[in-house]
Amino acid sequence: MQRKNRYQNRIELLQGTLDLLVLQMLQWGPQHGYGISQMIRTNSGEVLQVDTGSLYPALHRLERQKAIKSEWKISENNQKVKVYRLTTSGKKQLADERSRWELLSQAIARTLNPQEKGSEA
Amino acid sequence: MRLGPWSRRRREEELEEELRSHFRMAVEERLERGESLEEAEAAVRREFGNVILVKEVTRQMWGWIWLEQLLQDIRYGLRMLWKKPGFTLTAILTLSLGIGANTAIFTVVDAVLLRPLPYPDSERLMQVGRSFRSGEVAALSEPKFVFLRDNIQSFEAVTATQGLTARLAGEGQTEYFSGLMVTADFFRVMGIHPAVGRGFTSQEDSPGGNAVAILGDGLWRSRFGADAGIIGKTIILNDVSRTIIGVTPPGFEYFGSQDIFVPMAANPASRNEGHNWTVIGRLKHGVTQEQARAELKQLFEKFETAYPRQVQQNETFSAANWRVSMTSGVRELLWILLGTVSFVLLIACANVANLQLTRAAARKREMAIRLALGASRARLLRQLLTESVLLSLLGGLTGLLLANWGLSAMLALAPEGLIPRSSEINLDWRVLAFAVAASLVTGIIFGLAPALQALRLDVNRAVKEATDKTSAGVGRARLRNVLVVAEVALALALTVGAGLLLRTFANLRGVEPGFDAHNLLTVEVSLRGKNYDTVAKANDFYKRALERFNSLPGVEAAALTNKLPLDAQFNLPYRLAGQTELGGAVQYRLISPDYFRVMKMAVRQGRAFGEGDTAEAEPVLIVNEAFARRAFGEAPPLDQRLCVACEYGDPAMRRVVGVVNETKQRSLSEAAPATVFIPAAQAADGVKGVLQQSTFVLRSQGEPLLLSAVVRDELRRIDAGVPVRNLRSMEQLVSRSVGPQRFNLSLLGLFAALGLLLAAIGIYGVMAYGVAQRTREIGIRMALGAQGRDVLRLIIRQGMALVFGGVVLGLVASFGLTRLMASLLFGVTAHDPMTFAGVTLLLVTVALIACLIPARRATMVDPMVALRDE
Repeated sequence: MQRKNRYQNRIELLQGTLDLLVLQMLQWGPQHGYGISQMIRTNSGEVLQVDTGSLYPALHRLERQKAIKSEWKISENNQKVKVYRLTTSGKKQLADERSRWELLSQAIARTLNPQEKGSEA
Repeated sequence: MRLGPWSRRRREEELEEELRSHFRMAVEERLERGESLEEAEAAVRREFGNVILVKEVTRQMWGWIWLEQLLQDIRYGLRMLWKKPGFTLTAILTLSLGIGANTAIFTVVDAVLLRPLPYPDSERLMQVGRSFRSGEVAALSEPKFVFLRDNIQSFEAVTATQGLTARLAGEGQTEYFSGLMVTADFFRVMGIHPAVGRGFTSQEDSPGGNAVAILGDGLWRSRFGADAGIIGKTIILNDVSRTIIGVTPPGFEYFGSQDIFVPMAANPASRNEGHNWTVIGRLKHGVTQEQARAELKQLFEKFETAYPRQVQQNETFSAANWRVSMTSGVRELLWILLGTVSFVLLIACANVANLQLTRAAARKREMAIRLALGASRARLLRQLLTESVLLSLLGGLTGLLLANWGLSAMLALAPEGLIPRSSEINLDWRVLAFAVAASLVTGIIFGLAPALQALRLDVNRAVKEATDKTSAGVGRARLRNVLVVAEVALALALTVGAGLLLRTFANLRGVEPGFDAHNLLTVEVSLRGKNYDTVAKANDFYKRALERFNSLPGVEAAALTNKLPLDAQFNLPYRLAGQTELGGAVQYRLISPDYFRVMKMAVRQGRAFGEGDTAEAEPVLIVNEAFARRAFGEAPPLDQRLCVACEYGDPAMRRVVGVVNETKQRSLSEAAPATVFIPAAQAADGVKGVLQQSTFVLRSQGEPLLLSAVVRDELRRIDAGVPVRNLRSMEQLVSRSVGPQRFNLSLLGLFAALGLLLAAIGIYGVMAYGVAQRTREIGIRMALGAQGRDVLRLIIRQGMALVFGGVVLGLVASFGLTRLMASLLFGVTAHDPMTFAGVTLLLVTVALIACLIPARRATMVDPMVALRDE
């Protein structure tokens, strides 16, 4: 089934990266799920549109890993929302993942543009 | 992470709430941008995607998911099974028969063949004895035992035992108990201590030692009320007063439970040729069985040099693991039975698999929808397998009940002594574990293929259509056919085995025993005490009894013998006149003159005994043809001279005055042994003991057992103190002698019939389903002009093609397998063509009937209805 595959693909592609994005968004303060997805959309210039099928599994996975913590709060409109915040180990995980991501993206960029290499044939 | 069902409920609710709030906020934002409520909600819902899947995937992040999924599968499976009671009940019944039979047989195999004997360190116990070419270990004689006991190094201790009939006199009736003569080392070898008192000392265990006895726990409780002061009390055992010195521990068994133990008192100077002693030894630590056997061979050579006349050709001393040698008689039968019930289980699995396939076709839509909703195939497969395993566990449960009942029935019907260690057979945790394992494996076997089939479908078409015309449907049909072929092959193999046993049994029953077993009543007496302590006194009793019997209405003639054919054996050594060497052992019979007449045996040469053969007259002897051949070869037997039991008190040289035909002795399948007959009147004092335990045979005009009461009365009238027992008809004895073969046949026949029935049901099911599926095709054919006859032929031809495939496969398999049961057969070879042909015919007939019923239904298809239906 096509739609199921779409979910699978998204999860596979973005799983590690999605975690990174979520953690990064929470760096700027506690936020609920909908807010996180909006922030990612905005900050990426409408490119990355995270659907609920990827977002919520990621949130719950991160919570199980104890990188984030959740609690229920009453929002401005008197509605109940579940808000997530970074934990100490989450901050560390964010830092690690960021540096790993930097390393990875630089390596990929270099591989795609091999002009800098001069000595090898 | 919190665990547990109630926190799980809360998490579900929270997730629900969280998603709802996300939904709400997304809608609100769209509303702020100016969309209408419906537009906003529709858009957000589309963005949300498959909420169920979201929940499912999220849930997977929570862990412990497999347990929850399993519980869910079980609940769902049970619900599905409950919905289709017809299918469920049929499947459970089929499976319970298969699993139950396997559990029952496995219980026996485990208890008899596999489990160690119930003695401490029992694997070090070996049966020691003599063996010939076959390698089986047999009983020893007294001198051989004494020689081994004094010289052997490999064993910590050896003991010799022999059963005895213990007659306890006491207040009230004389009762018979099961007794055992043992040497002093018996308890040490067995590894037990008497619970009360002590074992025998060497003084007590020698000729002339103190007369003592040890009670079995059962007898101590039942007859002596578990008297704590039992030590020192005396009992009268076989007319000898013995002091009780101990009681064995409760539950101690030796070839069954024994009531009384007395010392064997082996005589070192004995030259007794009888080999009746069972010898068990406990290996020393660090000594292997091979080393023990090597030492025994050496010891035999020493013995042979010292006593060359006591050994036979090809004889040697040997030893075998006691558990193995004790069970060697039934080992083959039990493994064959296990193989048989495995076949039955496989047929049952095939049937249930076919049922599953049928149901899978009906559940296509359900599967397709679930796949469309995003379930993974692995998940569905797991769920289908769970259903199968659930089904087979239920079948296993009922199978256990069946096994329990069947086991009791089987043990009750088994001929006595056929199954060793039968008291150890019971359902315990090992059997339970086996039943569970068998159920699990069964569930996976019959569930896997249909489950895989169920998942191989084109979801689009499956959701829309209801027919089974897809490629998956074809795959299913092929699988069904394969299952039918397999079933038929297995059923054929089973039935061939049963057929061979049937012919074996028939052959045995057809064997001429050498006498006329009809209308013969037999009764044993035991003359003991002062009144009968001479041959003359015993013979007087017998004469009076025979006179009274002969005068009874309904009795044609009566006679006496010390041992009946097909009952027990009794042999003594003989020596021909002019020889110094013993000729060997021969069956020894003391008879009254009318014996051959009553048994309707034929006097081939010379004469029978008469009134003139008294104690004062010339000592005479009659031999049977087997003896004449062995002792005299071609020479005429009449007037030859020999002495029998010469060293046992009958030194007289007897003259052969007659030759009679041979009669079967140990069993109908074994050759008749050489036998000599001596007139009871001429019995020497030395064989008095033999004469005192004799059996009357009466030829009756009608049913022999009807005379039982009268005969008992007459004996009581002559002397009420003489114990009378074993009032049986000769036919009962003959029937008992083929007990083992009848037992084998019953069991294998039962399982073969079961397999055949299941296979027939399987064929019927597949054919019926096939016809139902092809209703439209049949309708078209009939609309195009086919007659009912043609349709019938079509269906049957296709069905029988499968059956023939199965028959060929089954014949090939049988050819290879029946070799394994060769030792159970008599009068037929393992590849007996008549049996193979007959069974094939039977199977084809049964299959034909199974095909016929649905085929006939096919002919009654109304083309109009069929074409309209879809």
